[in-house]
Amino acid sequence: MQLRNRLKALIVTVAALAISAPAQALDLSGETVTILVPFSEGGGSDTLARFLQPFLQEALPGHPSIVVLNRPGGGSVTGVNAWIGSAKPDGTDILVGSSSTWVPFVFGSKTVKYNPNDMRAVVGFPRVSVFYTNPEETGVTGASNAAGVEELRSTRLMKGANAPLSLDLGDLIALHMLGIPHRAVFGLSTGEQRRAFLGGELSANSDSLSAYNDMAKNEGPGRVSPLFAVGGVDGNGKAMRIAAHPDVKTFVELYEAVHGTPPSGPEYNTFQVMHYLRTNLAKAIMLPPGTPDEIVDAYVEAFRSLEKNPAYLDGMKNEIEAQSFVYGKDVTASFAEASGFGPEERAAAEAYMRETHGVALN
Amino acid sequence: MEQIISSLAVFGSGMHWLMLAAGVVLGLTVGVLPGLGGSAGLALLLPFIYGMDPAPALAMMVGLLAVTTTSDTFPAVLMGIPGTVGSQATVLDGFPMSQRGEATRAISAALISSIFGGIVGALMLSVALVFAEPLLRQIGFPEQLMLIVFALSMVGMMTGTSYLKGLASCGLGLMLGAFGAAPITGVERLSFGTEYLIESLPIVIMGLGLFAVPEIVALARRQTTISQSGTLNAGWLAGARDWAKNWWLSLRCAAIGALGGALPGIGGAVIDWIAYGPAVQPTRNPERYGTGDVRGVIAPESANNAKEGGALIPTLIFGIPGSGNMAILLGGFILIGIQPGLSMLRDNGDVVYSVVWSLAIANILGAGICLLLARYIARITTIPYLLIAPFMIGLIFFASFQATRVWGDLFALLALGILGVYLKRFGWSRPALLIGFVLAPQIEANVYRVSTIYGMEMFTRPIVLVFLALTVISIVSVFRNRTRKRPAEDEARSYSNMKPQKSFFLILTAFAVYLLIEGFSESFLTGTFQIVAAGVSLAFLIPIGIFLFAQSGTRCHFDEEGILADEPGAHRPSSASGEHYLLILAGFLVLSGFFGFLVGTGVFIAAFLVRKAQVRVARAAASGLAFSLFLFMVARQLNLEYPAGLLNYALPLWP
Repeated sequence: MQLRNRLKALIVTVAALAISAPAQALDLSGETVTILVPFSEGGGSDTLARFLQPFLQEALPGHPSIVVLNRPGGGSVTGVNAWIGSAKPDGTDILVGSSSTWVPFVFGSKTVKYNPNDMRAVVGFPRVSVFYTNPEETGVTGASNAAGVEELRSTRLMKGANAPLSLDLGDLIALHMLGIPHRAVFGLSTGEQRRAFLGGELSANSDSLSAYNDMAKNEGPGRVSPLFAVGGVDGNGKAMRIAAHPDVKTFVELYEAVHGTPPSGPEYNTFQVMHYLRTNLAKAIMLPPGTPDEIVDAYVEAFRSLEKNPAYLDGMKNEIEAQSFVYGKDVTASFAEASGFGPEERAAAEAYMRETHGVALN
Repeated sequence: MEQIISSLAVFGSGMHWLMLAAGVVLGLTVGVLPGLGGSAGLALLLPFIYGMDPAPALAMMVGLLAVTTTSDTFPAVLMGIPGTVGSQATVLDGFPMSQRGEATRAISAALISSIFGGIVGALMLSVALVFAEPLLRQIGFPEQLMLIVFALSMVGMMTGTSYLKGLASCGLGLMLGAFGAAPITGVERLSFGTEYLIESLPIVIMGLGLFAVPEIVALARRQTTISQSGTLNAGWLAGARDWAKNWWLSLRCAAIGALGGALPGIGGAVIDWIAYGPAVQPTRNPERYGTGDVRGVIAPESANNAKEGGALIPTLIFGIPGSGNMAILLGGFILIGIQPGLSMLRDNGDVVYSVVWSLAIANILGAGICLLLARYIARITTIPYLLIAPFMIGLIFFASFQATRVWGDLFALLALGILGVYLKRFGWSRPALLIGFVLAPQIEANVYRVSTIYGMEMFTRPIVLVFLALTVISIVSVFRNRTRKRPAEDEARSYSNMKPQKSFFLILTAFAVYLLIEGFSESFLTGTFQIVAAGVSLAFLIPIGIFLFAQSGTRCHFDEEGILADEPGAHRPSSASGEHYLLILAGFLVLSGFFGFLVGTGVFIAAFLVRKAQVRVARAAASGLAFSLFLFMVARQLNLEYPAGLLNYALPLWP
């Protein structure tokens, strides 16, 4: 492994010196492209990497062999820290980035040694989710409107969350802004939250579209009622509804319906940061900082060409749950938007956690 | 019923059998390599199964998962290396049997238990798919908490000679379990600014450090073969008879395994210990456990193969993975276009039942292959240990490295290995520590969840009350066993040199005090657990300290070195100290740091063979090279990057 990498590096260097031609198109014949997955085998990022393996081999110029390298630890921070130090900007090292990788950066964790704004984004696979409640527990059906919210205000929702400072903060702060009383149970993974919702222990939950669809189908409207949709964010920063559920309002629309004015302020900024992180930036393919434009373009081109492949489209939609494909600079733009968790936002989030849940943010 | 039969149709095709067998062989291979398990094997398969027909792809994946806990019996029983969490309890009695020359007997009893457990698991799965859904919904956080409390009560049976020390060991486990991100708040806890300790200590390294390292050190010092007589006594028929005599125990443990696998939030590591408990409890002479009692092998092995069937229950019914392996299997399902959940159960019943059949058949096939090989593999226990020790050391470092694949894994093994050696020497209970460690995050998370959602209301739930009753019964029976007459060997001894055990005690106490004080500087939800864990530990440590310093010759006094000197032939006078071999382990890290792990391991093996086992240089070098080549092949297959050394950085082409 090491040997091959080093050989490869040598060949690439020699080749680069020998050619040093203007804007040479990327050719990866005989090369090995390593996809770093900063998690252990089997998670969402790993599934995406292994799904991409055959397609990338077909689409990249020179049909290189593609290997997946799992480097788990520190909730993906360990693997990406190491990758930033060692990845070569020659198109042979790519990263499967996910919100778990960006969140600690956005929150200013001291262990993070990378800056996603410096990385070269190739393609993003936005995901969407639905926030829903259990009418059996709340007694409120058809809640995605002002009347529903008004009814929910006389209940108290029980919602799971990964940690105080995690992506779930987006949902919690949304409930807070809608004025719906709620209590969070921290330290629950997505699977645990889903199980606890099924068992009636939690009365609210947020899930990926396919999980929500499955849940809604099996449990029926008597036990699953959507509150708001967390669709992607379009180029103008506007939240979008989910095409498959056109009646479910976005949080912004629901807020306007309740309060009469659009949301603003540090709490809304926090919601928006989380929104970008868990939809547009849920999963993205990145090249290391300093990768030349030609190589980034060649990669973008390769991914674009895959959109003509029905097997790829089908898998992306149903297995990876990508809602659309966002390329290059558009992904980078989302990063800029998602970096807006400043001191004011932190103070607002801290106050919310302390007052509503009696816990420290971190 | 109709679906159960119709799903059998897929087994009419030769392709299906071929794929199942391929999965089984791969599963056995990754299972026998310490540190690798179902996850690594499934990850190997995933790129191949994409685009395959669902039925054979499923057979391959299930075949693989079903048998990794079958073949991991070999390193556990023969070498005392718990390569997966599923075999940690097996080591306790299996390895002493090997030392008595009964390796074949232990292995065959374990394998037959595995087959039986696997089939019970498959049966329970097929029944559960029809009936379990409403029941599973009843299992909430209070039930999980009570199950964990019940598991914790097992500690009482594994305390060893001094129950105070046993309980303090459990406390130590709870404290070690506090390292890493706090389960409730996600805040870094006790990471000391290192990246490695952001996550909790890997359980596999914990098992290797506590059980494998002390055994390797002890065996290397004794300089004999693993089988102390140098021969293999009882054959595999003896193991079969053992199982037949204990079929009821095996059935109970298989049921516990399947149930435990199905319940959310328990985790494989705990289940085997829960199964070990009932094996110990009702018997007349529980003190024989841990000294090579075959029942201590049958119990966890029956449970750990049944567990996979159990873990499939929530995976198939709700699409919620019941274990780490199941999370990967779920990924595999999705890659072949199957979305597990209630919809699949309704619409694709025959796919689901083909999983059940594959599970049962794979268990039989896998254990059958192992049984055929057992006699030959067991011979390893008759080879002089110094010849195999360096390979074992290479293997346990390789296994540790699989945990998170960084240098920190190797240091963690060394540190926990040192801890393990002294725990063993001074008679602190390592199983109790491990149980505390495994349960720590569960206790922390569940106490918080239950108090947030339920409070005292939890005691109105019927299943909670059942577990509560079981826990009380368990504690009472421990107490009754305790008060019986103790065997003579438990008599207290006096030691000429008390300093070593007193020093070790003081180090443990200082650690507890540090954690207690440090806990107060954290926020409430982050710091409380370590304060409680340290407080509980100190509650047991203080009386131990009083006995240790105020008196001589109590049950709290223990130092293996004192005993070994008394027993004739136990130690050759010339043999090196335990510290000597710990230094050799550290030497392994030095060599890896210089040459890189891949080459360093080979150099270490060659040097060890020459210096310690007086092997000729050429043969030693060839052995080292062979092992490095083996590591290289594994790395190529699994796409691993071994820890780099100085030479890797200095020389661009260094492997």
